[in-house]
Amino acid sequence: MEPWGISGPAFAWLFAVSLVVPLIVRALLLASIKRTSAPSPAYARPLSLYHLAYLAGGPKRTVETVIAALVERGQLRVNSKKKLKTAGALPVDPLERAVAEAADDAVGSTTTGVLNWVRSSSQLRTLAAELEAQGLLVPAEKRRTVRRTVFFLYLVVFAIGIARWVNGVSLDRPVGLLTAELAGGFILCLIIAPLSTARGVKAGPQLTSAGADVLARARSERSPKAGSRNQAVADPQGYSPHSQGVPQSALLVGAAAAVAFGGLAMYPDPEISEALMRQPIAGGGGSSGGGDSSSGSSCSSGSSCGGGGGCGGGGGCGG
Amino acid sequence: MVVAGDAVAEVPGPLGVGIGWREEIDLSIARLPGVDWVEVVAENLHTEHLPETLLALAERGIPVLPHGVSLSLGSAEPVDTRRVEHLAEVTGALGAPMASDHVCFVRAGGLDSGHLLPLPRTREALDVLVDNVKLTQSIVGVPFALENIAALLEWPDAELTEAQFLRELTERTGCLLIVDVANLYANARNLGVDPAAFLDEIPLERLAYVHVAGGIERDGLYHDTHAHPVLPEVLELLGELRSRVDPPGVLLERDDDYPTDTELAGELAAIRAVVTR
Repeated sequence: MEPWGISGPAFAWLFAVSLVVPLIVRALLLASIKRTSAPSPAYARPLSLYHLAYLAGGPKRTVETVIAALVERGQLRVNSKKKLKTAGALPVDPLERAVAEAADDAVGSTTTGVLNWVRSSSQLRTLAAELEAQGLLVPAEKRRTVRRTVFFLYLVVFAIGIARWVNGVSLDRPVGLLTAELAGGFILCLIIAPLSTARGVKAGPQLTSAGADVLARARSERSPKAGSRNQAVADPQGYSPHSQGVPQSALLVGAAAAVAFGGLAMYPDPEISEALMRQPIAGGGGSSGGGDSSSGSSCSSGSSCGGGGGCGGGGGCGG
Repeated sequence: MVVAGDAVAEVPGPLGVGIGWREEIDLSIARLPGVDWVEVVAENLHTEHLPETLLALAERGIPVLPHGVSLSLGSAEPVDTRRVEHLAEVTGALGAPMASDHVCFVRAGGLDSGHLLPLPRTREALDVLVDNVKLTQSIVGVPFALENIAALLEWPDAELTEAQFLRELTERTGCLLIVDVANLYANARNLGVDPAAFLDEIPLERLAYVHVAGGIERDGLYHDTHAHPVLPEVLELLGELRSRVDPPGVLLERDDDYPTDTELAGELAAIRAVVTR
């Protein structure tokens, strides 16, 4: 009689499959979260350029965009030593004010200092919450739920595997294959979990498909028809074809908009751009791009980096 | 009248309207409209490491004039020639047509005051200053100018008015004058100097350029802070000067609490409006 009515090799197969199941569940869960239905009209409030910046590059890009907007308006000054300093009256907008005050107070008064200062501010959290409420950003809460679910599933899988292993050992059955699977699976989890979590942090915000759509439309309205009057974003539905004739504000033009979609490297004045970027351009000569690698335009295609199905956000097992 | 005839400096060609170059606002200055030239504090520069943004201005053909603050030419002790040589090096490195400092002393008995202190206006003090200026002129090798300072006190037993003092100084050394109308305003407010009489008596034909700066009145005294907007009264004094002479250049000094670029451009435009009317 086989223990638990299943042969050793058969169980080994089953176990190997069940090691993959939580990952599949995770991908399905994330996909379903991202496929959130369109935001209800009640929530569809106008998006600011800072909202779009958050969709494009998370808190970092948002702060960079605020800095660019303030510099463009003359309320913030940067010198060739990368020092930021407010000029004139402080801005009224709470997020802009937080950035302006950070510029005067943060260590070094550089872009990096301001980023570190404002990254966890309540103003940025409010912005993210607004995007979540509109169904454009995967709520952190749901991402945590996915992570916990995957963690729990792995816990169950390993519990069963270990029980079978203990059972096998006590019955003096061969457990070599199962031992290898348990050890291999465990080590793989130990390696993947922190990697995927780190990647999740780096990959920036998790957009819902609606969020990716809003961002993609904003990008396409900005870039291809240079010279033509850019359509601005009044609200997420503002992108629908039938509202395109409505004249709106010039939200998507100017230095701040360039930075919102492409990072500080895209600030139109190259000398200001270099002064605002976090690291001085390495080596001599290289003029374009450079410096701020993580804000570069590598993931400019919108949906691809924001939300990919792989192991983007949740963190594999381990939790 | 001119005794040191060989040292008589030519009044430089027209400079226009300029602004004091400060590292904190270097990128702004490069982008401000209406900046014809800049002046830079010589002591802040090292000839081997001149700021790139300053060199870029010079390459654009914008004159960069060094301005000393530490020569202490009114000191009774010998001039620190190392400081003068540094000024000369900076002047050469910038290709500047002129160098300058103040009619004052900042050091005495080895102590540094940290402020520009007024000289007693006696013949004896003037003799010392004249000798020091002549030595300085022989080292810097370009026309040398001296600026009137804002004083919060006056030494007793003055033998000369400030204007007489400056006239004799220029006549005996051939140096040029920088007239700071904000300092003149401060002296008028704080010491009761008659600015119109001052402008009447100083040798305006020796005028190198004019300084304009902002300040604030506190506890009944006017403070030449360079950190506040330029007062209309100071612009009026610039107008007084303009009614007597067309100044070769005017410079806006702002050293702290920098306003927006727009505000700086506005002050430059206001200055230009006064001198071109």
